[in-house]
Amino acid sequence: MAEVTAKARRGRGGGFLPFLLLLPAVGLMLALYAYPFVSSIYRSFLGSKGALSVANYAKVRELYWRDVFFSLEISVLSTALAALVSIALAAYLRLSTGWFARFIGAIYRFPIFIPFVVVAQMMRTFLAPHGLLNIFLAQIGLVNIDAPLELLNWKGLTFGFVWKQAPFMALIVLSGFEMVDDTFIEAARSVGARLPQVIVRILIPMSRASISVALILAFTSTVGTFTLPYMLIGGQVPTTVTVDIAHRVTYFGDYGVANALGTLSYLMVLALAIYYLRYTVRKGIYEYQEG
Amino acid sequence: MPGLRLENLSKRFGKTVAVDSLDLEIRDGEIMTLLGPSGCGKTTTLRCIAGLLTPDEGEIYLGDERVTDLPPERRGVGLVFQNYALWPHMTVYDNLAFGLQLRRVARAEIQRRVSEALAMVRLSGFEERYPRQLSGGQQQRVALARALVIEPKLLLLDEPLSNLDAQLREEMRFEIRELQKNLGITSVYVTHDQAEALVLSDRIAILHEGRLVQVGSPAEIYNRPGNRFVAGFIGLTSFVEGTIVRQDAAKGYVVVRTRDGLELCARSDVLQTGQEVTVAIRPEHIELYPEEPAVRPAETNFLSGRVLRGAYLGDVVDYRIQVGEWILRAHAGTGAILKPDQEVFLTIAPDRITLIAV
Amino acid sequence: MFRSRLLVKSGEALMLILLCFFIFGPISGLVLWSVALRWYWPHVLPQEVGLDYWLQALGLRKSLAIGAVSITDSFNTSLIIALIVVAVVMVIATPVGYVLAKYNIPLKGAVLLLFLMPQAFPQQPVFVNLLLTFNKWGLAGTVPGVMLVHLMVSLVFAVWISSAAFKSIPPELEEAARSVGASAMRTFLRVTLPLAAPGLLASAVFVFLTSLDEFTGTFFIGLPFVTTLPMLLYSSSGYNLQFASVIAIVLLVPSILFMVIIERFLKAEYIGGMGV
Repeated sequence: MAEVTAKARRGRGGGFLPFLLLLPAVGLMLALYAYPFVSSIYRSFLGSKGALSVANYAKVRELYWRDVFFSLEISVLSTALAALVSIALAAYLRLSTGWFARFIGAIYRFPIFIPFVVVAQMMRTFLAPHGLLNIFLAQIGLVNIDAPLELLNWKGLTFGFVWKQAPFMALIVLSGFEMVDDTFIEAARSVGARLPQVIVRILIPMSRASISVALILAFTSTVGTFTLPYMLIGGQVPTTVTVDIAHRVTYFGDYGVANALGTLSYLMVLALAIYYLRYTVRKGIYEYQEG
Repeated sequence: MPGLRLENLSKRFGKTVAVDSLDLEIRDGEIMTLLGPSGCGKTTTLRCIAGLLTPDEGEIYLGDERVTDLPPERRGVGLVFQNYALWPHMTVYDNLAFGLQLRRVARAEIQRRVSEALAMVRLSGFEERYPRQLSGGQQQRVALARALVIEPKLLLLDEPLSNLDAQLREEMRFEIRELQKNLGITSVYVTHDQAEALVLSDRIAILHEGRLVQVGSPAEIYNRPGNRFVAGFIGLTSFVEGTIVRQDAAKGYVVVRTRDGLELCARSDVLQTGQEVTVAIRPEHIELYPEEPAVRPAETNFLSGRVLRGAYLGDVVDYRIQVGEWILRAHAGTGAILKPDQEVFLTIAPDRITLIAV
Repeated sequence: MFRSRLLVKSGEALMLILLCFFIFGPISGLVLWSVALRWYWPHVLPQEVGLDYWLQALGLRKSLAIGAVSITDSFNTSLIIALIVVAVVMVIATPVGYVLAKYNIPLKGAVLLLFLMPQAFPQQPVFVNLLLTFNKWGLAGTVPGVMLVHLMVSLVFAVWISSAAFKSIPPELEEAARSVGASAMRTFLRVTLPLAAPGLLASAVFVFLTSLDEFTGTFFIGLPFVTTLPMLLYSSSGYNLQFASVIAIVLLVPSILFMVIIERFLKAEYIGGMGV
């Protein structure tokens, strides 16, 4: 009986009205997102004479192959590091009480809200050869003041990405950890599991969905981020694909190669993006049916 | 296998005192129920025993070993939860094997002990199932097997049957009781369900507002409740208040008179004339007669009253009957249904009346 | 929980110090630079501090120094763009959130997909191709063009946040209103909308901040003619560290302030998408 009313309630098609309500937003998204998205792929296969060709990809192979791999390496490295930091942080916050934990729980989110352009500016001053980090490390004797750490390269870029993404991932992972009822943890401890075992054998496998979402969103965003590499390492060699795209467009007006690079950046995230979209669309439809 | 001893156990949450200087001893091989309404401190006590909470004061001994500061993973205590808490990402087999793997038990030995434990709860052949593929009752049996497979010194059960439907709950009571007796494992069982406590306990400890109110066998608790709270909490009870006006020391009877002149005869060897008492009467101990019996039964209390209303409970009818200024509840068979406002006659055997000194 | 309390506490303290250093280190560098009048290597702290750059940036004091910029123009541009984007996005995204939460429409999967894609794929190539289209339409380098980009970027978040707000309203509350005789419209206005209001407000704030902090889309569509605050920060960061630091703080403060307030209305997954 309850099921029938629930179905009647939710099965509401509503006739014409819902479509009317969707129309402006969907129209805008089709024009401003879907169309450029599709045409970025299409244009990557357009040769100089307007015929289909792979010339743009050949040029990418010739000029930017190193950067394609650099982008991939940086993204994998920073996502992996951020994942480690975020899981450790989330596990600590899930299992601990007391004012230390509360204070850490309050401050760790800070970087999430700071836009990339500000992060980039911060990292430039913080990581510079004469920046705060080097001054600090020199003060405590870890660095020779005349030979400071050179960080405005892949190291600093990775640091910047981890700085921004780890708290964001921790937020998602923690929301997953918090859905694991205390009794699952208590049951594990009662049969003899110590804390590391509780984290590895219970918390992490039970939060697989949240951890995957965190990994995917962080990785995709890292691959696609333009601001941070552009302002931090700019035109150094190697640099990221996103910097190359901007370079190709603003200096040469070469949309073909830019789009080939763009399409390659889609490919880098393709498997993860498909997994994420399937998972989220299904969840959206399922959640709706379940109410 | 050792027993369990709680000494002067106290636990506060902020200003709330959840458990207040509790002394309790659970004998070797015994199943003891901690019974009380929600918020009485029974679950807090259980969590202290398991090591999930650290008591503010007092000591916990498992056998001769003091375990008060030991973390849960080193206590060797099996735990069964109300929500089963089976790890959803592990099969039944892995759920049981987990604790043994942590103890570095050999693979073959793990297999043997897991299948033994599953056989014990009649779930052989369910090894490869995931918890979501099992019914609630099956899940709880797996949880029981998981707690037992590590061969704990003590088994703790926290309202394990509350999520099951009524019929299954009754079956499982006997199953748990039988399992516990066969293994001879010292057990502490937390519940708010008095029927459950009466069926499966060796002894019951009644808690109220963090304090221990009464400990005793189910029969003692039921038939001789130590105070009005216990009497009210265990089974249905009607209360009448009065003062002892006469006593027959030779036969061990006293007579209680209420302020509206009702007189009840009850058995008591200890209470003296002049003592104010609460009289507790259980509904099943009242006999109802629709008409005045021609011969009054000897040596029994005989009262008359008026039916207020009756509630059909299937096997019996639960009546509320006005006797003087008191309302008594009585259970009668479903043969002849009494109507509201009908006059009715009651007899209560003096042995069946409990007197509680006020 | 652990064996030694002292060990745990000192571990926690160490973690806290490290975390504080890595979180607040970069931020404090920004603050120091914004007030540093003279700071030469290898001095640990600025040799001379003052609010000169702040006063100049805020247009409170004229400066003839080379590279001195006033942020007021950019601030106004950013504010106008953000406010209009918020208004438009709320009007068109709220109905979508409502429909996704309450109706079972055909092709629902496709609509969900359309609003999820921008989270799942890099957006930069989209901006690049949008630039081509906008060039044709004469929108490139104009404020309306930048607004359209911000609109697209923030629409997605507004849809998800408002959808979550509507989803959290038990249908029984609306059904109860209908059963006592309220029309569908009246029910929406008197029951649904007020209950969803906090979530919708959070959505509006989120859209505002997304627009305020947006960089990549503005970089392609707006430059060199539309200079929002992030653009100004970018263009002054090369040669004037102090001004760049002042602008960075101006951008950072509202983000942190508002996000702390509205965070509980947001699902963790959406928060990461802002300010890219």
